[in-house]
Amino acid sequence: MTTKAKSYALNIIALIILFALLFSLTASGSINNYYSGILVTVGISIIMTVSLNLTTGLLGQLALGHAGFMSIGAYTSAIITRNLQGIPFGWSLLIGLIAGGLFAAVCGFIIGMPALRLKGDYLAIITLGFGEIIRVVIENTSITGGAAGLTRITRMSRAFSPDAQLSSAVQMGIVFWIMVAVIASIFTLGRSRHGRAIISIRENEVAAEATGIPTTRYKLLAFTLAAFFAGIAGGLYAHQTGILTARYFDFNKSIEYLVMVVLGGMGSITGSILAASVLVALPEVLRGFASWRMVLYSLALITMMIFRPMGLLGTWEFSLSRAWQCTGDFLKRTFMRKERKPKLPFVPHYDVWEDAPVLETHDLGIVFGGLVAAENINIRLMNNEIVGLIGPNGAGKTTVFNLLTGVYSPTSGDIILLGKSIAGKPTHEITNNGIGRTFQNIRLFKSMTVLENIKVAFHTRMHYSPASGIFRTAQYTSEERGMDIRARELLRVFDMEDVADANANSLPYGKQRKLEICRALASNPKVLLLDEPAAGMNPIETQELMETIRIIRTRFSVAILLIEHDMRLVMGICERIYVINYGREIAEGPPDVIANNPDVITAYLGIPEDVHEERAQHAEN
Amino acid sequence: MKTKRILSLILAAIAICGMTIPTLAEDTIKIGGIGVLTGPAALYGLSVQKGVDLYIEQLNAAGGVNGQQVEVIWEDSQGNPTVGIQAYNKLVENDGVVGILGAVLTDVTKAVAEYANDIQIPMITASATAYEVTTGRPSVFRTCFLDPFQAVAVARYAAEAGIKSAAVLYDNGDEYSTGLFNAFKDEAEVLGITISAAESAGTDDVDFKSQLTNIKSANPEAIFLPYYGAPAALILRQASEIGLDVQFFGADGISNITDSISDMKLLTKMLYTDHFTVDATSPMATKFNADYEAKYGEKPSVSFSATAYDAALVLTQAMKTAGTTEFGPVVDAIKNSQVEGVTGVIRFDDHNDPIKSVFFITFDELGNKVFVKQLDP
Repeated sequence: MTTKAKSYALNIIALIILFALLFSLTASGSINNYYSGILVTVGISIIMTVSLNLTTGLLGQLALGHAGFMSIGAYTSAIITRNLQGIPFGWSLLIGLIAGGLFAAVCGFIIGMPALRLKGDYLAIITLGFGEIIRVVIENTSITGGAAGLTRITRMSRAFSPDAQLSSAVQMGIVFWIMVAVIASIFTLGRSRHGRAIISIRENEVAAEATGIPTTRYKLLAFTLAAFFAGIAGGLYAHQTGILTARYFDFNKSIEYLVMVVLGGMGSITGSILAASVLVALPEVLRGFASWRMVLYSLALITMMIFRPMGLLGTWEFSLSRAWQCTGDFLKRTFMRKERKPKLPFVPHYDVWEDAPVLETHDLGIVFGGLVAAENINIRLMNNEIVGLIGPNGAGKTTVFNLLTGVYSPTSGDIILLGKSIAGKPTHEITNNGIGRTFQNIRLFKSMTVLENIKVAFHTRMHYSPASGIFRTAQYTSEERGMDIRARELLRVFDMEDVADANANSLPYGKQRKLEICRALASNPKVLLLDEPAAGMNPIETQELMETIRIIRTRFSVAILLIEHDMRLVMGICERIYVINYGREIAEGPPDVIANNPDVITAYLGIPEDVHEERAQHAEN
Repeated sequence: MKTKRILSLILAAIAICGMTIPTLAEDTIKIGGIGVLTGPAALYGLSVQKGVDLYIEQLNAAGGVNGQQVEVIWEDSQGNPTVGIQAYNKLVENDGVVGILGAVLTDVTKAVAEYANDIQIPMITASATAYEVTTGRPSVFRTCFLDPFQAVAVARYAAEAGIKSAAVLYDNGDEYSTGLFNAFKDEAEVLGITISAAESAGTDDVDFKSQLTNIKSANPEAIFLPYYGAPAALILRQASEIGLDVQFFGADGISNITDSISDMKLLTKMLYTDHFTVDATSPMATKFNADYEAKYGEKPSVSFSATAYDAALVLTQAMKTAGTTEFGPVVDAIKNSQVEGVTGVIRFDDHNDPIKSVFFITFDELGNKVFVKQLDP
């Protein structure tokens, strides 16, 4: 048995035991309606919190209308079960829950499409408005019962069996397994290429796009999925309480779930589960304190946020198999088998592009309002070349990079990559077509491990769908395993295999630079753009960097274009150099020619006094 | 080996949890009280609580029920149906109450009533006025009258006063308000009163001027405001600001309007229906007012303290009549009761609603309530 299979087995056994315990205790009446009501509410809150964590924690977008999606699911499913009296309740409930989830997802998709294209807090404002709009619409629609709401919705705790205890136990089981399914699917999704793409957006949206992640699509995926789960939670809520009023799903309800997410730790699913359980149970425990309980509840919240500002668990996750390993190490040995070396699923291709330039620009230029930031830039990169792009501060070097990578769309000229025009394409597409880049100020996915940083860049080299990520199909396993090996191989080339599982932000500066280059290479580029790779490095680190760049050229068969102020590095490794000033190309040639070019010297050092006077005289004459 | 040990552990755990703890002999009759005791609607819940507590104190002083003292355990619903259900479950399952007084707000009451109906535990609400609350729930009663009933009473009063055209401004997000509006409209049509304008606003709106301007241009003789006190106070002020000077009618929600209004003169234009008035002259009512003031140091501000007093009275009286606290006999006894309460003689119709009088009340220039007339069923 492999460790993975073992951990699956362990989790499933633990869940079955927990379920059996809850079911039998509820059926026997030891967990009476009061406690089972609390437990079911906890379960529904966990679904809400974990799904909100997908948007807020993993994607890093603030959403304030989660209760709105819950209400859509609640009303949809209640209306469906009400109108499907002919078939057994179990089936109509199933149809209702799925329909409720889907309808909520559709609404999420429609809201998310415009909102998620925007950056910053727009999503928060739009979702806030959406939640209120939903409430008003429900209050003014006759099919939802208007302001009076829906009553006498079939309740799970009564409908399954004439024996009230048994029916309660069935309700417990339904909520329990749906909760498990939601947690498990968000958990596995988070560990698939899609999950990594979502998390990379939270970590650094610009870098994610430059690494080849279609960020808008992934934001939409996460948001829609969260809405789907919230819709299901709403359906469960409707059939738990038996009554729906739109008033219940207001802004405060959304905030309540947000508090649970923040308290548990943004991005920690275990934290969400813990916080939802505590915050639902706490008011019940505090019932004895009558009106003091709101004060105690708030105090408990404030205290927790002061002492644990990153939430109860931060981004830490509980793992049963880890706990198991700690407690029962001796069992491990009996299960140990020789692990088979998995075969590589495929070998990444490095095309040879010998005769024509890999990257070419024709009169490239961009104008911001009246300011000409770059014009008539003509750059040619042959395969395996190392080319420098230099110029004084503000000359427009980074602007050229941003044009090449699609951060800006050029206002004139064209960019040809491997014979195809890429001008005006979105960044992630350009990345996937073969341009990788690093940034002047390092943009890593800081709270992800070194290995995960690399794997994000492998995103488009894998092909499994979100569904096979959630269900961990054979395709998922083989691709992930292959990529794991490839990522470690790549790290080995850069002597970083030993830090593969460390957090990116725990690396020393030089290694962070290296990792960024490594990540850019992982997207399999034909052209690598390095924006001031030696900035902030000491001479020894710079020396190492020169070595690294040479290794990259020979091993990865890429053309390298680098911006750098460190002339020793530029002169040391570049075969050709382009010089730009005021957005214009002023010189091109091998290092020794450039070093002696009078225009370049003038650009860097200004015009010498005597020349200046001479020119002034010319002007007078 | 291992699995066997785990299994036996689980079985042991189940056995331990499954053991029922023997309960001590009951020496009090426990009744559950559910109401909104915190939050913006707490005034209603606290009024109900005060009314019930006052009666139970007097009852216990007089010897209790069937030789046992009565204890009311209060749980806060926070005005939230889910919390209300949790409160109900806690009272029934953990405290073992034999009757429920409450809940206070309509939607919470409807949610709790559905659960009470499951086990047919007697439940009496003092304040949920929506028709549907008691429909198809034989063990659920109320001691307040219904929204349709008071709206009809208002329409009849208006017709008697010779009013030919009336406008309505209501809250389209509130069940109480829409229910009253619909009932008023139907009855007005029957009585030949023209609804010259029907304007609506959202629940949290604070500016009603555009609606009031529309109403003004329709030129009605009177305006029906099915609102609670605080928004009604805003509407009265804004109406006077735009020079809309006509008679206003309201329902029982108006009863706490004096808490929210500064210019008491505006109130002289308001006439509303209530379950009870402090000016009522029956011996029970006089005694209630005196006792209430003695215990709490203030006059009852919301009439629900009177209906709550009556709810506690009806429930405990039925337990006395039945000679037991078993659900079935107590429910039957409530159904057949004919009790002289603070708000009049209470008996129940087929729908478990009380058949009782409506009081019409207006205000003087100082904001004191003035009893106008009583309309008997």
